[in-house]
Parts: sequence; C-alpha cells; structure tokens
Amino acid sequence: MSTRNLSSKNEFIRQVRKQKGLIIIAAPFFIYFFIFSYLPLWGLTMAFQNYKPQFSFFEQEWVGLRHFKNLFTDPDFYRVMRNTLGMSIINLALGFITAIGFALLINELTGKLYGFKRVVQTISYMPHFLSWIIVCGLVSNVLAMDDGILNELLLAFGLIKEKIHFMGRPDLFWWIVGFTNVWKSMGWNSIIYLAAITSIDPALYEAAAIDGYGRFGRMWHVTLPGIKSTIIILLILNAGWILNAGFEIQYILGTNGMVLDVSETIDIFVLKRGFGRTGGFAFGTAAGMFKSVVSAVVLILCNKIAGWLEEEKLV
Amino acid sequence: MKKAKILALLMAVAMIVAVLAACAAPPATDSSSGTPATPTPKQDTQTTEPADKKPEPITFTMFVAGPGEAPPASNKIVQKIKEITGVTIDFEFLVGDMEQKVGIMIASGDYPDFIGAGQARGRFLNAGSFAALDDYLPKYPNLWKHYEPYLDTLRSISADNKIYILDIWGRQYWLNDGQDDFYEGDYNGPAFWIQKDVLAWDGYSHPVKLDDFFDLLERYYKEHPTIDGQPTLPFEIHSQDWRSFCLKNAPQHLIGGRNEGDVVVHPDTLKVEIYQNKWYARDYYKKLNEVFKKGMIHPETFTRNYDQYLSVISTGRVLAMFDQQWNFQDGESVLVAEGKINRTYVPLGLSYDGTKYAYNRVRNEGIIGGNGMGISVKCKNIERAMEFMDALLREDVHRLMYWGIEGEDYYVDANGRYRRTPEQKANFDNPDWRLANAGAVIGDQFPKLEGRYSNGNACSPGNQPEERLENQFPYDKEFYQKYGFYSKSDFLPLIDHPGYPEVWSIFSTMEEDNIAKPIFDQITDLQNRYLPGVIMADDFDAAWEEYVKRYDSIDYPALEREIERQIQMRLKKK
Repeated sequence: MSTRNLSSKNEFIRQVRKQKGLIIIAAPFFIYFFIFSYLPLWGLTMAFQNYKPQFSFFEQEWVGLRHFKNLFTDPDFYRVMRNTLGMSIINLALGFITAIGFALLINELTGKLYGFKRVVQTISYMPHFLSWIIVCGLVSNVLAMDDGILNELLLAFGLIKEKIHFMGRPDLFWWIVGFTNVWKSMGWNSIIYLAAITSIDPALYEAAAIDGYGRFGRMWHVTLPGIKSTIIILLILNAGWILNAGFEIQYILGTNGMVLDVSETIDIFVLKRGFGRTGGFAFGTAAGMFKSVVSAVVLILCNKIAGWLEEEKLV
Repeated sequence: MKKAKILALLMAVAMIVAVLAACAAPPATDSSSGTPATPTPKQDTQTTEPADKKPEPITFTMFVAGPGEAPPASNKIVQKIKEITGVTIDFEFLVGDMEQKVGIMIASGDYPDFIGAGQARGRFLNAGSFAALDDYLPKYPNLWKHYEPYLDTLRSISADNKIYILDIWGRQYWLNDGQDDFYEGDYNGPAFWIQKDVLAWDGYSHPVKLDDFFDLLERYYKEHPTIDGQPTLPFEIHSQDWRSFCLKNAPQHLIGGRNEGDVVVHPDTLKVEIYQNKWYARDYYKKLNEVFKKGMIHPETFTRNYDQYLSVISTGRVLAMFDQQWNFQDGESVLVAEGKINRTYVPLGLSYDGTKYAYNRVRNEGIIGGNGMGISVKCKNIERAMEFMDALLREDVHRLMYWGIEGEDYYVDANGRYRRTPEQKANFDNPDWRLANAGAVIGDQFPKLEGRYSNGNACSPGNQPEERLENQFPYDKEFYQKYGFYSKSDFLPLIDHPGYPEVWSIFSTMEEDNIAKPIFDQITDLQNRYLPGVIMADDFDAAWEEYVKRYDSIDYPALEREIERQIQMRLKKK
C-alpha cells in the first residue's frame, strides 16, 4: 500500500515537471477564477449568521437556518417568485418564437434581396447595444398618456376611446416587459440561428423542392429540423436562467405603487432586503443562495431531460 | 528555466496579495466598533501655524445621501476656498435609491472621507461608519463655538453617547437687537403648495379648509384647461421611493400635527398614534378619490419618477401639490429663471374644520441632533478635515460661499449693508450660473453659520431683509402686499417648538435591529402599494376597507409603544 502511494506521488511530481509550461499558462486563469468565482463563495456564510458589518467574521452570531425559514414564510417571497417565473416564461417563450421566426423569415431573403437582408439584420440587432436606461426611457415615452405615440395611434385608428395608462396597469406589466425584451434582443438572438441555418446542406433544399415543397414546406421540413439541436441547446442554457427574469426594466419602470405587486422580481427582492432599510445582508444572501441553487438544479434537470429525449446534451 | 521560476514566483506573490486584499475587504475595522481614535499630539501645533503659509493641497471625497450636483472645478468660489484651505472636495451625490446605495457602501466598507448622512444617518451610525469627534472638537475654535452649547444633543443620537454627526443646519447666531425676526428664512417645509396665480385669480383668497382648496382648484381648472398650450395638472401626488411622503404625510397636518412622519404625537399626553388607517387619513384619501374622479389628478402622477415630477412642475402647469418646498425647488427655480413668477408657489396650512395650522413653521430650537454630516472612519486625514470645516465657519469664508466675492456678486452700501444689484440677483436665481459661480453647494453640505454675521448682515442673501423686500420680484411684492404679508412664510402661523425632535428623525437613528423597524417596513410597503389604488378606486369604501383590513393584520401598536419610549428617552437626555 505504502509503496503504491509513493510511486503515485512520484508519478505526480513527474507529471508536474513534464507539464510545467502548461501549468504556468493555466495559472493566471486558475487565479482569476479562484479570486473572482470561488473566494466570494465564502460570503455565503453570511446566510447562516446574524450578520453585522461592523463586526469581524469571528464576532458574528451564527443562527443556522433562521434566514431560510424567514424566507420561506415570507408572503412577499411567493409574490416575487410568481412574478419572476411569470415574466421569465413570457420572456423565454416570446424570445424563442420571435428569434427563430425572424431567423427563418430573414433567411428567405436571398439573391437580389441579399443587401436588404443585411440592412434589416443590422437594424434589428442594434437595440441589443442600448442600455436599459435608454430603452426604458423610450418605452415610457411610447406608452405615455400625454403624447405617447401608441395611445395617439390607437386613438387615431379608433381602436380605443380613452387613453390607456399602460404604465399603471398591473395586468399589462409582464407583457410590456416581454415585448420590450423582444424588441431589444430579437435581432441579436436570431444571429445564432442564422449561423446554424447556413450549415444546412443546400442539397436538402433542392431535394425538398423536387419533392414539391414550397417555401413554407422547406422551412418546416428542412430548416427547422436542421437547427433543432441548436434550439434545444439554447433552451437548456436559457432554462438555467429561469429565475433571471431581468432586473433593470422592472426596477426602472416598476417601482411605483400601482404595479409594484407584479413587477418585483427575485433580484429586486434580494437587493431590497439585502441592502434596503432593514439592512438584512444575511437575509439577502439567503435569498440569493436559494436562487443559485434553483438555477443549478433546473439546468441539470433540463440537461437530463434532453438526454432522455436523445437530443444534444450540454455536458 | 530560471525565467519560468521567477514567473511562477511572481504569480504566487500576486495571488497571495490578491487573496489578502480580498480578505481585508470586509469592513471590520476596529475603530468603528467603539473606541474613538485618539488625536495625535502633532495636531495641537497644527492649528497654530501661521495663516499666511500656503496649505498643502489635499482632496477629500464626500458622499451626500441626497440629491445635488457637484460644482465644476472652474467654479470661482471653489477655487478661492482651495486657495485658503488647500482643500478640494470631490462630491458624489446620491443617484437612485438611497437605502441600497448606502447598504452597498456599508457592506463594502468603502467610505469616502466625508459622509453627508442625510436620511441615511441611522444606517451609517449603526454600521460604525463615523469617526468619533469628541476629542477633536475642542481643538478647533470656530467649530467649538458652533457646537459647544449642543454637545449633549449631538451625543444623544448615538448608542455609546459620542459625537459622530455634526448638524449642518440649525445653529443660528443672533444679535438680540430687536431686529432678529426680520432675518428668519423662508418656509420650505411641508404644506399644500399652490400657484400664486390661482390665488390671485380668485381675488387673492386664502383658502383654509381642504374642501375650499380643492373647490378653488376645480374652478380655476375649468377656466384654464391648458397652461402655455399644455394640459393643466390641478393636483400632483408624487409617490416614488422615500419621497412618498408627498402621498402620505398630509393627514397629520390636517388635524394640526407637526411633521412627525408616519405618526401623530398627542401634544399633551405624548401618546403616539399611527394614522394611515385613521379617520383623518380616510377623509383625505376620500377627498382625493373624489377629485380624481373629476379628472383633476392625472393617473400618471403615480408612475412619474422624481425627474419627471420636477419636469412637470417646471412647465408651470401643476396648480398645487402636497410636498415640502426643498423637494420641488429644483423645478420651481426653473420657473423663476424663466420669469414665470406667477407660477411659483406659496404654502397653505389647510385643515378640515377651518383652523389655520402652522404645519411645520416651528420656532427654531437650534440643533436637533443627527441632521448633518460626519467624518468617516476611512478619512485620510481627520485633522485636515476638521481644520477645513473650522475654516468654513470663519465669517470671511462663509461670506465667500453664500454672498460671493465683493464687487462681483454683491456690494457693500454706505451703511455697511450687503446688497446686490438686480443683475447680481438675477445671476443667483439662475441655477446654471449658481452651479458654476457660487459656493453654496459646498456650504450646504457642511456646518454653516445661520442668522446674522457679527456686523449685522444676514448670513445668506435670501435672509437679508432689505434684499428680500427690494429685490423681491414686482409680482411677488404686489402679491404679498394684497395679503399684508412680508413673505410666503406668513401664509402659515409661527408656533413654538414642542421640545422633542421630529419623530422621523428619531426613527432614522434607531438601532438597526429595533423591533419597530420591520413593522415600519411593512406599513410603508403596504401604504406605497395600496394608497394609489385607493385614490383611483371606483368604489372607494370597498378599497379602503380592504386596505384597512390588511393594515390591521400588522402589529403596529408595538411600533407606537416603541416610539413613545424613544420620545421619553430623548426628553430625559436633555
């Protein structure tokens, strides 16, 4: 036993010596991840303390799972979970459908329309680079009651009789968030599908044409199956973000009493409780930790499901 | 081979340093947990250094937990002050939500040199962000003179009875020559603020009842559906974040209370009562509901953020609102700059029964404790910081900040009085000019003189009586004359101070884990969430009942008892 240990130890040292160059190259990344991704995990201990910033780690009072108990008995927690999941699902569904649909449609612009395609594509992904502050400013201007273009248009076409107070309607808020996300990221998200489409064998299209499929037939039977694996991988990746329904837009547009009930997401909840007046750094940490755990579980689960369906897996 | 070894060593060192830095980041400094830093013997000699010696330049950072804009470095007063003291202040004013900004600052322990505590005083205090100044104060003559009568008040707000926050308002200097009353500043507290034009249009009326007030707004609105081509907004209710006091605080005044914040204190028994579920709150919101149904409150008032609120005020089409003047003055000063004096505001002390109430026009009681700024535990040079503040209290430096440079910004007449020409005053009325050329932006954040200089002049142009009278806009002069008033303050009676600080200020210095805090958060949350809906409800009574039902499920009597205890404690400490 001891000799085996010794030999494996020697073996290890020999390996290290042999791969010294590689280790040195890898070191900066190791250090980077260690400092920025692993060291901060230490802060999670706060979730189990009655944390007070003026005391050092050793002076903190340990309280076990008290913060988690408070979290799960907090009625607000269920409200923000509902909001987060609601907006997240809307975002996911709308995001996927529009990005794929857009990619399919724009892919059909070929030949003489190729220049037009590029223009459309460029314009459509530009909003991705705008800051949420600007986007939210635009949204609240477009949806305003005084001189808001949407209200004016709806009035002009006789679709409504009275101006709608979009920003104060709790039933519309999730959809405003959803469609703003579509506007902002549809073009950008479609790029990856367009890239996937280009890798489809053109012969398949010719064969489909010979078989008598029209444009929509080819889209349905050739293009979509051709990018199925991309779609599934992206779906798995995005499912891991299911508790990230966004932060900025809800924070900027949703902090008024009229839509507060439906606008607060778990991120805002963590921020408010963690850094807000009650000063519950510990409580906020607990809520944030819960979120990370759920995200990880969902990601693994989706990956498993994809495996059962014998589709592409992420890992 | 050797090179690789050195590289690896460097990496290892870098890593250790980085790890150490990361570990040191938690704000666990010893000085914050109680024992104040004792002054070094060196600084005793520092104050006696010859005045003509050029001070070493130093830059202090300052966070101000309130709105504002930092002056450009080219500001002439900023430069003068730098010449005199050697100090440059690098301001960071609050943008966005205060609680979160402050929370992050505390969590990181990354404090600037100065902290303008504002409403966040309690959180900074409890987190041990301030250096104790007890041992420093006596060494600086101006500061000592400024605070010596109030040392107990300054100490009363901290758990360990030390001085952490220096009040920046409230210390007044009077000459007791029978003239002092003329130097009282303009009222800028809570009231129903109404455009002068509305009152003038009504034959210079002076509504006292809440019903008459809204009746007047309605009549005016009917005849003036637009102002300067844009739709008139008869009554605005601002409700964002901590500024939701505009939404919530009126009922306490309508029954004659001072601005305590979220409670009413019975003047004789000192019993404390939460009022957002009481009859006088219901009647107010019911009135608002009625007015809303008449189309006099724009639904967007509840979704406007602070900037949008200021911007509608600056268009001159908001007839009235419940607010505190300092909160909307940035919007109002645009109106002044554009010469729309008839669209600026005067305060009304409304009531239900026709009594004329003072609201917050309370005789000054000096320093209230906790209403100011402090030096952080991370301050790079406390002696220089104190020296700087001491210099700001010199009359000549103070005059620079608030009056400007003699001959440029004001002149001295034959009687030794400070005066300004109409152009000089016009400059001061222009917010852009002020930012680039005046020093008040520094002075406002630090301890300052109020009242009168030793030569009898007012400590700021706004309080110089002849200035106020002579340079009053012709519109204002005529307007006030119709009422027999001297300034807008006279719309409210003046009452004596009840002897305990306003409850909101008690509240903001409470311990972080005080039982009252979570209860307070719950009711704040409930109010912010429900009240706009109540005001806009089709069926007011049903909405109100639902709201009160939720309210009653909160243990608010515990908060009332706790505040009663706190008030008694402060009265005893005095």
